[in-house]
Amino acid sequence: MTAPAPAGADAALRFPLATFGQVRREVASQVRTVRHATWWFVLALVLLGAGAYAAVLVPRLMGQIVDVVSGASTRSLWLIGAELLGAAVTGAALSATGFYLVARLSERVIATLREDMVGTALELPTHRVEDAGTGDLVSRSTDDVAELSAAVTETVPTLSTSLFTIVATVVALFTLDWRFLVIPVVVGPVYYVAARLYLGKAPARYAAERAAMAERARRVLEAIRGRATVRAFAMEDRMHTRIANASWGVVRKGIRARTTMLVLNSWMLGAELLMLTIALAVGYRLVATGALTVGAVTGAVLMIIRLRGPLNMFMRVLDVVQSGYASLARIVGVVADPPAPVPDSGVGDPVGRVELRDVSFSYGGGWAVRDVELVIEPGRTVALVGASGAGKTTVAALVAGLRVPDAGQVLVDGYPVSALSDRDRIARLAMVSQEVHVFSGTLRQDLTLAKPGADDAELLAALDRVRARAWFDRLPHGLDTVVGARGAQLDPVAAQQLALARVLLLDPAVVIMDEATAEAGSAGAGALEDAAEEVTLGRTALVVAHRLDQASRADAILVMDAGRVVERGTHAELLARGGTYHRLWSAWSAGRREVTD
Amino acid sequence: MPAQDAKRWTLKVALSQRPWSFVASIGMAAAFLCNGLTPVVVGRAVDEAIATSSADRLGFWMLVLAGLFTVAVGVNWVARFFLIRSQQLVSHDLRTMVTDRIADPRGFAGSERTAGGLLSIASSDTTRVGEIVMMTVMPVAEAASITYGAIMMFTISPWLSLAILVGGPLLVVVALRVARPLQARSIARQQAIAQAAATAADVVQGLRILKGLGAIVTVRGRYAEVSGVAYGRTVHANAAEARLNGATEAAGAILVSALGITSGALALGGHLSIGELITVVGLTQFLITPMTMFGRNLASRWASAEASGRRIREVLGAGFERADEADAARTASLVAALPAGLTVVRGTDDALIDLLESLPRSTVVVAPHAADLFDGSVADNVYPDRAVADQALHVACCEDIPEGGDKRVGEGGSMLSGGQRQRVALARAVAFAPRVLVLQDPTTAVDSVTEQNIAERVSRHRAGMVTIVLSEAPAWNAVAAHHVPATELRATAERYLGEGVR
Repeated sequence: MTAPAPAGADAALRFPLATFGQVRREVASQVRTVRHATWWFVLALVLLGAGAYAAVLVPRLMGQIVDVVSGASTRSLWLIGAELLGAAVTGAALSATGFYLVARLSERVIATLREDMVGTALELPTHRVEDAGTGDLVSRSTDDVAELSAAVTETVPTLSTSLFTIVATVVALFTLDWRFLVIPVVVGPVYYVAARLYLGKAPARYAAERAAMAERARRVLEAIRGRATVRAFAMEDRMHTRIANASWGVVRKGIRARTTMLVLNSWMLGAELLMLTIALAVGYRLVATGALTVGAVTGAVLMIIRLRGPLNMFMRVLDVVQSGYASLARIVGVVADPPAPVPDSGVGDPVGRVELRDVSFSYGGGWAVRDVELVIEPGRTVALVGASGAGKTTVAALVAGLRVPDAGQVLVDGYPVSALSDRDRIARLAMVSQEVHVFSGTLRQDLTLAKPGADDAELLAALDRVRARAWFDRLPHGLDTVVGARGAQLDPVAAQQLALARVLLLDPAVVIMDEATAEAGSAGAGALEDAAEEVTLGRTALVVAHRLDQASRADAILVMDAGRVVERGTHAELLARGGTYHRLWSAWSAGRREVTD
Repeated sequence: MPAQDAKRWTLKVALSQRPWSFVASIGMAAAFLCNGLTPVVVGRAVDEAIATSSADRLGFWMLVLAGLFTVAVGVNWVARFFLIRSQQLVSHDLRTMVTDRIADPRGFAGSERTAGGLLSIASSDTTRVGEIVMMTVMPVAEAASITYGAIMMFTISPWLSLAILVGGPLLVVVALRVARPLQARSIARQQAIAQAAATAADVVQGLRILKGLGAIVTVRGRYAEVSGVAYGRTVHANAAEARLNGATEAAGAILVSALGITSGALALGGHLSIGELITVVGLTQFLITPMTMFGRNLASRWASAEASGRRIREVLGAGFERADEADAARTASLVAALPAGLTVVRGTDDALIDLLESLPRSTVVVAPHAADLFDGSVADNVYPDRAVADQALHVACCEDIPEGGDKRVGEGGSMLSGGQRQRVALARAVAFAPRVLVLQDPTTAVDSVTEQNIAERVSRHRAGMVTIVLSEAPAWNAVAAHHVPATELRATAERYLGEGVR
């Protein structure tokens, strides 16, 4: 067999960016799931509009006071005063309520979107999970969701009030005299150009700042995580330089990003000057021709002066709106067209028979696994032995269904493992690898992932069987101790025992253990090996073993080299054969004898 | 930077970038005054040019307005630039202090600190304290605006001036009052959002395990719960924010209205000219923002900066876990007593490791068992000198790493397998070539074939130097020149180092 390995297709799982139409449809359909959403939305718009209009009335009424004083109006000063107070208080109350309604609605939609997003990740077909880890799903379901939440929380209040104030001001100016419309007509394009210039530069610069911050966080974090190493090798000065450089990068990028804002600021001041000049010119003309009173012109310029705040706020959140939309498009790209989960295959109850028929696999480049044949009968244990890079881990991943073979078949209970649905896999297959993950939450929550209904006695029994009681008894709150990223840090051996305890609770027919005891130093060696042994009892097991004594107890041993199985048999048979295994074993036991001497 | 136990630490930190932060304060005050002059100039233009239809005066006031805006652009630029710069530099200086303290070889006394907790102090808290520079700039400008408003009013009518001086602080009090629930709620909101993000990250990173456990429905439910809490907290905080905005806006508008009506009445009574009336009305419009923002800023920023400052000072002032290194003479005598060549130590003894770690690191390197790598190339992680690094990589059997020494290791070594990480860490220990090297279970993640090769190469490479390996692995036993129980080695160390060491 000299068939070349398949060319390395980019296996990374990538999702599309949603188009504007898709985003609109998805958001609309999410909004529809909220009860009476349309009514709430309309109500919010009405409130915001009315509130903004009431607020804009304030300078107009002020202008009327001028008219009363100059004799141009005969209204009562006290009536105007009452109207002023009424407009001020109602305007504030209406805007605040409208903002609250908009915020509540948009937050609801975001919450549903992020839940759908995580749901999509959870329902990925198992053989695509490996790709998802390296793909962009992680960043979409974490960074983008966070970015979108922050953008909405930050911009909704600003946008809703400033946008309505701007519109209400334009309307109010128009109702004073239509000729004031020349202001938005002339100034509108100036703002547009300023916004385009800003958005042309700002997102990239803010992204550069964020990238610099991420880099800084990485540097700080590795110095913290590796502080034992930093100490051991006296690397304090090197770490100081690395972090200082990264932090200085943020200083430089941060100042640069904000200079873009300074440029925008100057544009806005220029536009404001333009607005006021035009307003004065128009007002001059209107008063001269007797079309408008001095008070009305005062009201108009006051409205424009008051517009500074809303306009500034509006322009400043533009980039947040832009990046928020980019995140939304990335999220909708996943939830709008999620990969279909594998349907149930119709396989019967778990038996635990594993069969590999002439299996080959390549990551792109050369063959990682070539022509592997293997049958594990229910309840048997098979050990894989070989040097690093021999293909042991790949075989484990193929049996677990994390990889799909390029040639041949991997069957579990007679069905191709990649055709098994999530439900088919429950209580049938479990894998414990060297990379352990402790989920954030209480220890009980972590363990019950494997068996949701389990009571404390069962959980404690499982911890007992994996020899975890020694550290468990030292935990401050027992099963309620918070572990994982935000809780107590479990050492690698404890984390591995926890992973094994989960498997015991799950009680699958087949367990695949890839270097599950690798972390065991002399301190935890015994406990972890006993725990691993316990887990293989009474079920089919494929064990990638680093320790030969672990392999020697297996029902069969496969010695791998360069992707192929070079020797197979029981411990005794392989020793009798005098091949690779014999050589490994004699060197290993020579060392062991020294200990027992 | 002030000492961490200084009084008014936060204020001192905020002022640490003077005189540049003062430039920002003065510039910002000038920028605010330009804003305040705008309605005055416009009012004069309406009064002198529009009311009298004088084109000359209109041109004049337009030029004045243009001049005012030119100044405004300039001072805005200067003020904001130096504000940003000062904020960034304060955060940077604080961050460097915090990370230096974290990396201090003497460690932290007391309970174990989580990486996430330290990271948040070194990044978010230092940023938040850096932003406190804002509080030495904005309130100055806001106070200047209010003072300016009061003075302008005084030239028109002392009563109106008094109203500003009473009404201004009143608005601040209102803002401070109403902002109180928002502070607590926005912290709760931040926490809940962070929790939801962390849970999502947790789910995706642990996806393989979750799929393996068939825990899809359970996890979905748990995430929905966390997400629901985040939603609830956000809406709760938004409600407080809505109330704050509504209350401050209403209070400001009421003050402005009252001033408008009063000045209208004064003008009707002949105490004010129309021009003065327009100026008053314009000034009040300008004053609303600084008056309301003064309180809001004070309420929201200072408290959170104080809280961050406390956490930073706690880290900076934390006690040390271990004393200084043992003295040279005692170390030399101990090193001389250790057998040359490779010694395998049986059994574990934390006290022994503590003793060895107290020795000067220039002579004795105790390589930790955890293989911590730092993002960069493999060779960078091993040793600055490439030739030394390559040789050490050979000793640690790292030949299977594609691209060899040039391979990037990724964050925390994530681009390497567990076994590769451990061997690169071992290569680093070998490359440092200390007089005495202590290895703790250095090859647990390495297959038995490679383990034997490593043990042989390390013992050959370090021939003549002292190498102590704490391991039960047969491969190390096979190449060891000496075997010593941990208790015996500890007794030796204690004999030479004496009681005074620990």
